[in-house]
Amino acid sequence: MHSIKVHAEVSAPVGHLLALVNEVDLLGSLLRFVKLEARPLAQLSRFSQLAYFRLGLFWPFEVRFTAP
Amino acid sequence: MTHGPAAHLRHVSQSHRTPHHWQDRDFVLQARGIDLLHRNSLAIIGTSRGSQTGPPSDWYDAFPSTPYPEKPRGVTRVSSTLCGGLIRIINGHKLVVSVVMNVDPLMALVPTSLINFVTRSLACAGFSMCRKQLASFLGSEYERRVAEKPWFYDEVAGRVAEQAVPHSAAVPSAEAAPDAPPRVGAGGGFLFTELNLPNGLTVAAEQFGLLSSVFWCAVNFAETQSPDHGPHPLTNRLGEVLWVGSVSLASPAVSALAIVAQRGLALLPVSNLSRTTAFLASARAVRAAGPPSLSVTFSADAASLPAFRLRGTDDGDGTTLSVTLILDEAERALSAHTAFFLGVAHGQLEPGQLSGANMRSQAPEPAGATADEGVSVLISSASAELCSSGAHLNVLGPTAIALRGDWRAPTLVSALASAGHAPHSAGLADIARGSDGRPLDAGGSKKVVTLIAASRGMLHDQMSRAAQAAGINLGWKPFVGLPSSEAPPVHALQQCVLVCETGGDASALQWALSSIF
Repeated sequence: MHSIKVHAEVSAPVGHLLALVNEVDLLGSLLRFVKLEARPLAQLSRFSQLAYFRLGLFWPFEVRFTAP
Repeated sequence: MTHGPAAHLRHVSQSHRTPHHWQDRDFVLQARGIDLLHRNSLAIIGTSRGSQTGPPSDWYDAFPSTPYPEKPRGVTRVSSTLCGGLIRIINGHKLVVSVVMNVDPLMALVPTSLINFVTRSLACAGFSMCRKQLASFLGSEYERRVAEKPWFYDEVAGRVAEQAVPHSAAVPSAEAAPDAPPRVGAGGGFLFTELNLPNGLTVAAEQFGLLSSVFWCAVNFAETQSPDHGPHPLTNRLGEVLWVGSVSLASPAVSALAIVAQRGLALLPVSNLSRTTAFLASARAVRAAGPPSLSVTFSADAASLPAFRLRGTDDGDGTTLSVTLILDEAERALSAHTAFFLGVAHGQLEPGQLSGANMRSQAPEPAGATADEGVSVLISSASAELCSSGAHLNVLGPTAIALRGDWRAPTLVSALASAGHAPHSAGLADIARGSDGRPLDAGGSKKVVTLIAASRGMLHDQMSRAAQAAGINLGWKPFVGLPSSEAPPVHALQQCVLVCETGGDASALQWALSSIF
């Protein structure tokens, strides 16, 4: 089990930051440095949602393609 | 795969199925936003569902309409993920974001140092890109989304504007309030003002974890005169007790003792009415003599709860439950939103056991009724009769009651029941809405929460017959808009109204038991 803890200061209205978090399907385009597939599955309630994430492994773990 | 930029030139690429350690990772995350604006914060708790090898949890079985994607071929599903984020609002344009994630990436053969390096790099790069995006927010796709979803973003903005306080003023509340004698509150309960409850609960270990995905506590309420036993941390989180009284949701079968506190709500089933009666008698005596001297022991087998870890140790007198919040920040912030209890009891309810003396049903109080001390439970349960009868009431099957600060119609309950996955009763509370679909305010910023219990099949039929024989109208109402005529009839009983001082309080109620659904 790995634990990750990150702190950061952000200069923005809270609504803007929430939009980045809440709009799951845009995360892939936001975090362009990773191969991320993210899509919402269900809005369970106003403040709860279910989402699917698929993270492509990064170098050197990524799936290799060969092109002879 | 082949493709050719020219007739004589081919690019040939081959993809290989990769071994486990080189496969993509995926997971299904359920995230929940939590209003902590009374502490100038917003929290997000996320937990993954399902695993690579195990089936989705019962939670998903209960809601077949909820899409749960199969694991794609060649992808490794991360077994468990727990993440949380806390957004602290320093001022209108400055936030401090903390993110904690516990995840097993299933890379046992990969050096930890390499994983840590990559993780740090990704975290830094991620925040950098977020900052860039926030700097160019206006005119972006995100701005359009915000405009499209006023039901979410306007609500958040409204709550922030309404509740957020200057950073220096955001201090934990109700840590050491002086004791004060209780007084009679609405609904016949005892209203304690500024009283830190030293009360205790003893939970039968075997009754814990009846539903693995839910924080269930079937409670035997124990009164143990133990002044040396200090208040339990969880009790501290309950905060100031505002109201204590018995609650009858649908019948005596779901009678519960309710403790409504400033920072949470405890519903204790009357699975052992005599003990509850003793407590109520104690509470009644307190009205004249002062606060009760009760101590708390939580006992339970460990069960998982989002953001919580539960551990039990056998102390010879039940198992003492310790609750560990995994997130440091959340431990402070969520202290006001600790999930509380839902009773489950088993037994057989015979029609003869029901009588007018211990069965109560009352239409809900009108919305907007007076709220005492922040949260008042406008409910009738005639605790006097319950106390005096001393009867032991068995319960037919489990009954679930969830409180949600959710503006959606209570479709989950109806879906749960109609899908046949709730063999017994289920219920939830929803923030009441007006005809325009907007939350029904109880004046000012107060929100009205209606508590709804649903039942189907035998329990409803049996209770209805018994009630009818006793000349009591239980007031069951069919759910409106049930999807299928083939589904068993589902009946709802709207039984009580909670008036919360603020939307934050309503959200606290939501958090209190929303994990059930």
